[in-house]
Amino acid sequence: MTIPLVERIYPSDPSDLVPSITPDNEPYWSGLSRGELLVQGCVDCKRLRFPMMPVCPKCGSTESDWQPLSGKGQVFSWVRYQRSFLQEFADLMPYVVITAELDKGVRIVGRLIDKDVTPEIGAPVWMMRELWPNGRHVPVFSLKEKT
Amino acid sequence: MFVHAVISDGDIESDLMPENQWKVSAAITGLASTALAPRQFANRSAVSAASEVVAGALKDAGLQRSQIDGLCVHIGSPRGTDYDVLANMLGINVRFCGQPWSHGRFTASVITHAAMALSCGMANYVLCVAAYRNSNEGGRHGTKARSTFFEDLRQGGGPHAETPHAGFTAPVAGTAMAYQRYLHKYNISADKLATLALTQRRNAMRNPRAAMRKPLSAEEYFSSRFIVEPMHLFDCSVEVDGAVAIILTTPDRAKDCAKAPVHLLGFQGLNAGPNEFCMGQPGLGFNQADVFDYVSPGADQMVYRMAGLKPSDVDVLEVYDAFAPMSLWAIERMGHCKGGEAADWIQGGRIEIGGELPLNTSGGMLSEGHLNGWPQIAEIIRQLRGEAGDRQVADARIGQWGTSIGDSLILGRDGTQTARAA
Repeated sequence: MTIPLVERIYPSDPSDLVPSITPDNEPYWSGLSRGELLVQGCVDCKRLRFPMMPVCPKCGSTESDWQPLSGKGQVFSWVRYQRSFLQEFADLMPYVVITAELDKGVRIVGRLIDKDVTPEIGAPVWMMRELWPNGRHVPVFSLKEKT
Repeated sequence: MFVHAVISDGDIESDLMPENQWKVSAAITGLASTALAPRQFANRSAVSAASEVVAGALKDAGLQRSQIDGLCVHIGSPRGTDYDVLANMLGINVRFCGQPWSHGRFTASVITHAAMALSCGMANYVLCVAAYRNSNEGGRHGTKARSTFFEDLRQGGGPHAETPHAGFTAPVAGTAMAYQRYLHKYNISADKLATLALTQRRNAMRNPRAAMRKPLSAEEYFSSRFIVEPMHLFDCSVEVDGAVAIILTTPDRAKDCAKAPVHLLGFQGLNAGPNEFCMGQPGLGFNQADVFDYVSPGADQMVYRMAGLKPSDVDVLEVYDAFAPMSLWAIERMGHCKGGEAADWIQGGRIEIGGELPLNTSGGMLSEGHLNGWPQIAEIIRQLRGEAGDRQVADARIGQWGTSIGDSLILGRDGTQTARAA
């Protein structure tokens, strides 16, 4: 299942806001750039983990694999920025950031691209991605499935 | 001796030493602090402010500079002072130094390190210094102008859960995300939080050192803008410049000092681990943390066991309130009520001066000012000394500092044996 691409013109280059690629997180970011959501899983205890880390916090195993998720989930919690902290997002004020609970209980924080909405905890949500000027694909969320 | 307290999946396991086996030997004998105000040190160095409070604390204790042989500082340069610069400038020769990471969660740990050094005989008089010039930080938390902004991009996520590429920066956001979930999880009405800002402002109006002393009405609170919804403006602390110095020594040495000692009866460190989130509460499911109903360890935690006391013995409670919900979580964690109940527990005058358990009596970070809790530690000392003026809690014997991630101190007007017997 492909994570849909959504377009956004940034008022200034946001590229330095995205984490550097490291050996630990590279499969996640390169997966996103292909439209795949890959989440790190423990080979031994099977628990998924995010953010990416070289050791399983549950069982201590260093063996992990990368499991595809659909990107569909639910709103777990949300906030709405009413004060602008970053000029890269100033044109979106006020904007909502959610914690999305995806399949298999994986929780990821991302900006909600929908305007003028107040999300309900438990509402369905879909991961999408934006292509940033430095070529990185960044996860965002929407309350509406892109068809 | 293996000693720990573990909270996991809501189950409490404890393996704590019996109360009579702890060997804590530390008392506070000197205190000085500046008034707090935003940008008051814009044209003053942090070491200059530090020198002022160190001189004040030495005088308060009746000690000479040459007697100081340990130094624990909080927050290094450029916001604060580094231990070596301070020792150089003050002309003190110390054989034990500590300086933890530049975050407020280490406030109790600074004093704990001092107490540990004294209890082990590594030092006889330890000076603790917190002198910050927050006006020098370049910009607000959460903006690129702030000198620490790029700490937010550290591997695995920022220090307060910042995710800059999601537009999710500033420590207020981490608390807002956890608080929204907390409101939902425990079916709490958000308006109950107002009690903290309103009560603490009234306390600050009785405190000449406080930054925010104008009356604050419920109407002003509820009509104030959101910063990061659901957090109102007045749910957020006021960043200030200021300085606090505290001198600790052993109880036997403290008897010869100028003021009656305030005894350090118990302490515990901050908790960290997969189910801890420094801006929230265990069980709220930040990132991959487990989701469960929070069960407070109550009296079954190190700070109480060491002191031989229980939550209901506390007369004055000061908690880390960078953002108001953190007070709710600290109250629950310190066992003053059960998980999910603090928003109701704080109502009806219970936390007022004169109430059952006065909270943040000097105004807390919301109104006295955010200096990482050091002014609140100073307030506990003043309350136990009977020096709190218009804010004095009658017959205050036991004071507690606590935070939502578990670090805590219990201070006593009397020594351990008397405090336990009372």
